[in-house]
Amino acid sequence: MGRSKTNSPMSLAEKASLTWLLIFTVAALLSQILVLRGEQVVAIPEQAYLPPFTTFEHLLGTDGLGRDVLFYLFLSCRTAWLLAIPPLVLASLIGVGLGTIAAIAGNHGWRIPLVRFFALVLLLSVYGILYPVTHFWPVFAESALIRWIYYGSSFPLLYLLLTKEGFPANSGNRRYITLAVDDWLQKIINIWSALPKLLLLLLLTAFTPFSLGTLLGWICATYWVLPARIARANVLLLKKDSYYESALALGIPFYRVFTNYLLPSLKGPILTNFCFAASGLLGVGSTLAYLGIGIPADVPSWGKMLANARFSIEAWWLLAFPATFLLASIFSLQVLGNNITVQSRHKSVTK
Amino acid sequence: MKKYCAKSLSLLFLWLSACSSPSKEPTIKVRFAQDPESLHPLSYGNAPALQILNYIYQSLLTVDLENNSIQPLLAADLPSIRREDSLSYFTFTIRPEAQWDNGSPVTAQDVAFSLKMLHSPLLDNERWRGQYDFIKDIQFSKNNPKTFTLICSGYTPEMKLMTGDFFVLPAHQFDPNGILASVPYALIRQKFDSLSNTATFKAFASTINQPGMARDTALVKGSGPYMLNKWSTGQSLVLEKKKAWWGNKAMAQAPVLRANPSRILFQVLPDNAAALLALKSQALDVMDNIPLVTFQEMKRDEKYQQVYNFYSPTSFDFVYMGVNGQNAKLENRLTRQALAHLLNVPQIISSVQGGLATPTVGLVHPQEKNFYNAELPLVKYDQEKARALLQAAGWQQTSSGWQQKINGRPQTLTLELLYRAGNSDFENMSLLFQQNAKSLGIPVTLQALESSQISERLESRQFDVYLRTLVGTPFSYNLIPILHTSNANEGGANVTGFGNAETDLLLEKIAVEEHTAEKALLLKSLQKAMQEESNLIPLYFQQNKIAVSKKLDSVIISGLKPGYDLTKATFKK
Repeated sequence: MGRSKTNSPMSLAEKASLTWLLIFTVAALLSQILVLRGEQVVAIPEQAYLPPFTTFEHLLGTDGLGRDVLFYLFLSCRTAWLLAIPPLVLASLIGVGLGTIAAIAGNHGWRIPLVRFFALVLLLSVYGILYPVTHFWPVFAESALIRWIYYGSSFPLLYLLLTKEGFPANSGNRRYITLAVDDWLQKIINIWSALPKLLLLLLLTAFTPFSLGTLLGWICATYWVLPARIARANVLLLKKDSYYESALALGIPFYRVFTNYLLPSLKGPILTNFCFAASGLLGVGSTLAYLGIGIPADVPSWGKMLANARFSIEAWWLLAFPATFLLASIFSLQVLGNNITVQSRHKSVTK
Repeated sequence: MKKYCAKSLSLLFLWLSACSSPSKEPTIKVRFAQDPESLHPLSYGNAPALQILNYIYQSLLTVDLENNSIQPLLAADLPSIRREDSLSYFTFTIRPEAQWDNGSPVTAQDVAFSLKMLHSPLLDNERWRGQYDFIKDIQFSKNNPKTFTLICSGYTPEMKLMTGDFFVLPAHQFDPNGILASVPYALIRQKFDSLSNTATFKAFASTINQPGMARDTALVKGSGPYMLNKWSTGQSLVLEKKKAWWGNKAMAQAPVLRANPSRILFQVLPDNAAALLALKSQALDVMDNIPLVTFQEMKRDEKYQQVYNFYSPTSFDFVYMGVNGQNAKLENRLTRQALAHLLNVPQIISSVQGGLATPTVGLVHPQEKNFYNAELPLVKYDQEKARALLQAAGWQQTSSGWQQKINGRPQTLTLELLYRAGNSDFENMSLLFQQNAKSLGIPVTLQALESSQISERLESRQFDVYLRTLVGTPFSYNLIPILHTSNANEGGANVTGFGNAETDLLLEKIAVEEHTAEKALLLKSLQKAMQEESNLIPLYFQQNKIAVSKKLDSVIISGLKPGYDLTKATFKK
């Protein structure tokens, strides 16, 4: 595919955005190291509400508990980054995977022998029943070995069931069950996308204790929908193209078809979506922190500082600095997303 | 056409002018943080509802917020008390002037009816049935329809207020057919279950439980000075003074009956920010529980100094850290004492509470000079002392934290601190405690939960430490429910597992002791025992933060709920 790249020079806004995001990521990385070493913002209540630019020690001032604003904002980069990037990467992977499977398999593409289907259901239900036994029954609950056996045994068994070819004896008599993958995915997507994301997150976080880990999981569970839609739509288009059909006819294995023929066209829209979703997620993460939901009190976050700014009108710096950081990150991602859209439109084969 | 226009316009103006001046009466505007749950005298639920009901209904006795003394309200005098064996007799006489809105007098029969309501089947009165279980019977006087005697089992000092602390309801209004009048009080208590199956009681319960009873202006009315004029849910409640209230005549002799404001408007503003905006634009005359920083900023600002008086009366809301003494890690009292030394109370008071809180050694308010154990020192923030106590408790500091074997199992000293989500004071205190504990090598996880979730965890004893507020009164030191070992089992209210045989005995004696001097001795030894055990680590007694408009005179500010008394307020001329 000898397309020449249309490398338009980057505008100033784009350069600035990239630089900011780079700084943001480096700050997140550094603060992760600091957190691993057990560092945290020290509260010195005697120095509460120091205005900014008065002392060198607290350049951006201090908050109501006497915590240094600059250091707090620095450590907050980690929270913002963690809440936006990793769950979105995972959600995009899940979405692209599901969307592609749905588009390729359609409603008739996936047939499973009835026997195998029931074996799978049986296996899953046995593991489902065993879950509370291994996790909550006092004898087993504290034994790591039991858990290892529980999870360790499940993967080989699933693998065997899904891949082992042919059951012995009268194969002609086998009955199949056809899974309407596309229909089901469409239904799930419709239901899932009907709910506003923030509301869904609020609902989901109510079920689990506050921690970054669970919040990451829930964000992942909420944000896979759009990538799945984009992937499905694009693959459905590409599927009809002659080069795809010829690739299949040539007997090229599917993973190579995927990486060489499908992915290049998927990349643009998925990346664009990624940038916009990430900028949205920064806002959502801060909103959750502002509302005091999902993020523990000892994890610093821009939203939390904004929430604390409510208590004092005089302490303008508690509002101004985190808002600047948040807006800069959101705008940068938007600018970047815009740039990718433009570029991928130039490159796309399905424009 | 022109004429028609002119006519309709003038009509419109008439209509508008009729709307825009609902009342010339001066109105006191008070902020409510939430709507009353219901104005049903049996099941009112929350504090705003009780506040409103206190204007509409009356009880026999009341607490004067000015000096926290018990005063006769509907009763002409404090009851005369007689004690015989295991029974005590409280004889009341109702004020001769007291009457209902329809002109009929308030009699002993109304009191009997009200007591029956508290014990009748099929009504939402479970809470009252337990609370007023001690009133065994009511005897009427033959000579005076306004005199009666309550027969109570046993005697405790709390009964002096409790026997007259329920609303006296108009029998003619709630029970026009006299269903309850025909059944004696003692019988209702005895035959509770069988009565619940009778058709008459079912019919009675359905009239009492009808939704109108909880909010209809025609049905919510009692002998009190005010009537409910309007209630728009989520917006406002209006109380209007009755023109021909019976108390107007009696007021001169009994100042407790005074009710000056002719109209009180309770503005429902759940959002703090919105309420503050209203206060700053002088759309409110009274607001309590103002957030600390705003309170301080307004107090400093000359603009607001001219229009508002600011008060910070001490309240009986006791803020403490509860420690689970039934948890293996925290079983040893030395460990719990060590935790007490990790709380920097003066720092918390000055930073989180802006100095508006009173430190204390225990459950008794320092203001109660008789009962407060002033000889007991306040527990100081002291890392070294905490370290020494932990070592004395058998903990050893290793690279992975404080460890020891308890009941054959290796344990690491880690804590999970529970507090109510959304409470920024608790959040800040938790952060400070976490920081102090961390510098000693104790990792603390902060867990913000909903109130009901915390209660669940406490009841099932699945917790290490928690922060909470205990709302107390200076009238009762019956602490048996929360401190007696008989309530320490799962589900009981003694969630921290405080106590031993000695403290149990102390608690039992305190609950029945009448003489101040003896009671003081007992309470002081209880405070000492509680400090040694450190199951409840005291932080402080909160102070309320109230702003009252300078337009108003003689608003009484108090430490008791709701923090202010408007009945004696007048507008400045």
